[in-house]
Amino acid sequence: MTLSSPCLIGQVFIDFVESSGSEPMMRLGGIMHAARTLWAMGVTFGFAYTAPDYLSQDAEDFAARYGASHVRQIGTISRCPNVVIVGDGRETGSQRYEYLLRAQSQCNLHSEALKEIIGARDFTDFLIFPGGFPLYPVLDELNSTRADVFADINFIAADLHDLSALHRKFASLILSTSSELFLAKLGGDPGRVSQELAAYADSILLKENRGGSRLFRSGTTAWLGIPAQIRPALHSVGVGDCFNSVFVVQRRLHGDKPALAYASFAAAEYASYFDDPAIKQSVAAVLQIDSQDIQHLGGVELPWEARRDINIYLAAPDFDYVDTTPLDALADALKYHNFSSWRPVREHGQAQKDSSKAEKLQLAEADLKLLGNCGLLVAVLLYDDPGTLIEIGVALDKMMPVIVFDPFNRATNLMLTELPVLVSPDLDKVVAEVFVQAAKINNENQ
Amino acid sequence: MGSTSSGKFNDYPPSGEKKGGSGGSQGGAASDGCAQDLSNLQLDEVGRSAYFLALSALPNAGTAISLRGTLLGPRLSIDTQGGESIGFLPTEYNHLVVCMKKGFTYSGEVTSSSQKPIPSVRINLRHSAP
Repeated sequence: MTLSSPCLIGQVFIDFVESSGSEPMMRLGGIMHAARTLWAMGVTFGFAYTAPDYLSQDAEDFAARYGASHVRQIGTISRCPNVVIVGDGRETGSQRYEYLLRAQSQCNLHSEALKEIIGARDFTDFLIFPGGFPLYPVLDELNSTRADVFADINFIAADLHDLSALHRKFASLILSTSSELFLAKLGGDPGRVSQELAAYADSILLKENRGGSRLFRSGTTAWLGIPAQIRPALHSVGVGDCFNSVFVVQRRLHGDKPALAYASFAAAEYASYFDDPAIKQSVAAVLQIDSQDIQHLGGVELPWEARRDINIYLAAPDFDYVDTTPLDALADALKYHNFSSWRPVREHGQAQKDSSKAEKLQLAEADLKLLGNCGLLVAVLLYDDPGTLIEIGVALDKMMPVIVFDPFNRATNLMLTELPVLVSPDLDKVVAEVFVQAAKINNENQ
Repeated sequence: MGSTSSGKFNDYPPSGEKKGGSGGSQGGAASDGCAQDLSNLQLDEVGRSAYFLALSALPNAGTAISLRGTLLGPRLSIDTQGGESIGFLPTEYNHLVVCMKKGFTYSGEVTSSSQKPIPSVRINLRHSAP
């Protein structure tokens, strides 16, 4: 058991988070999320950052307040303000990030400053967030250390081959199922993740949002899984960085599995608060949980690829004369999380006033057959649509879990409010409940 | 049209500096999942609970219960006043472990119980802040 002495390497941003119902939130992001987490854990660290010069004073002030023992600006960003505007802060569905002027960002790397901070102290772990700075010279410089090197490669801009500049294996490469790297370059296939990254790392950590995380041992198909802790989220900005930091520090104390469990709990706490004292109090409380207990507490574990087998019937008046915006948002969110959701009207067509009785019956039967092939029903109460209510009743009769998304708070009938597993106007809660119910279905199917 | 944010960073600096401006409502208690009351919540694994195994019966509606301060199994156990477990909270409420570490406690009562088709118990749970 050894204590971690980590050093963070990456960009500092301004996060501007828009959230419906409250004023916009602005705070320092990028590797400052990891710094904030390490401060909350009571861990001192090195802080090697790149940023535009106008941000340097704030970045260094905050890093110092968070307990950084060594701070160096290793690169200056020009032609880009390093401002990220975040639309849906909670990652209910696809997050709308706008990284202003990213395409013209240029980084002037300060080699001497990089060399100084890497050698300033006997750091045990380097946690790098590639993107926006030349990766090759940084990794080349790290080669001279004996530290474990971790990289969160979600925003890696360069060819993956640049990772070989470390001239040895990373302790872990970390990526998320929501990254372009996973979805586009690796085809959304967790099997390819462990295969194609094996040459660069001893292990690959795949973070699967509300479905948990998996640590793949390079060169094998085996993984170590840890569930996600699902609780009402305030935001998702920097939550992955919090996860990484806790994992890196705790694995030295407790090993991989407890470290992943601590990371999962801490990340859920980080997503629940914006203010630093609350984050510190919560992360400290997480670290008080016994390491044996925390790895067996359970949660939601639903691998990315397993979600395709979860068929979800979306019951709603999905007609061409109805404003289906809430239904569209739900369908988009489920697609983002890789579930198979079905909109019966889209599948089978819409009955017209002049449709024959036989045509209407055929449509109704097709819808019921589809419902019977699904494991979960999510109803969207756009108005008091009899078809939606009947479908809810049919699903309940089949002992199928029913979730009601009630964006306009229309549900008052006691059968409607009491029999589904959840009735909520909050899309985030609805999506979270889909994960909970889908994980149960997946467990039963195994 | 004017600016809508405070025009400065919303972080609460660790130095303890009081934060002014309008961003104060965004963190803390408003979002605190610890200050949470749960109503009519169905417990897990009631049929395998110590209470049911010992008595082959379930606690009646109105029975006082509380969330055990330590983990059992390790799960979050709901106990009678006599300290016998009647079931577990679903894992979606695991964050209450963190809340208990912060000093929150939770107590309430059974709202309904039924042995058929499988043993089930529903409870209300109210928080008590430290």
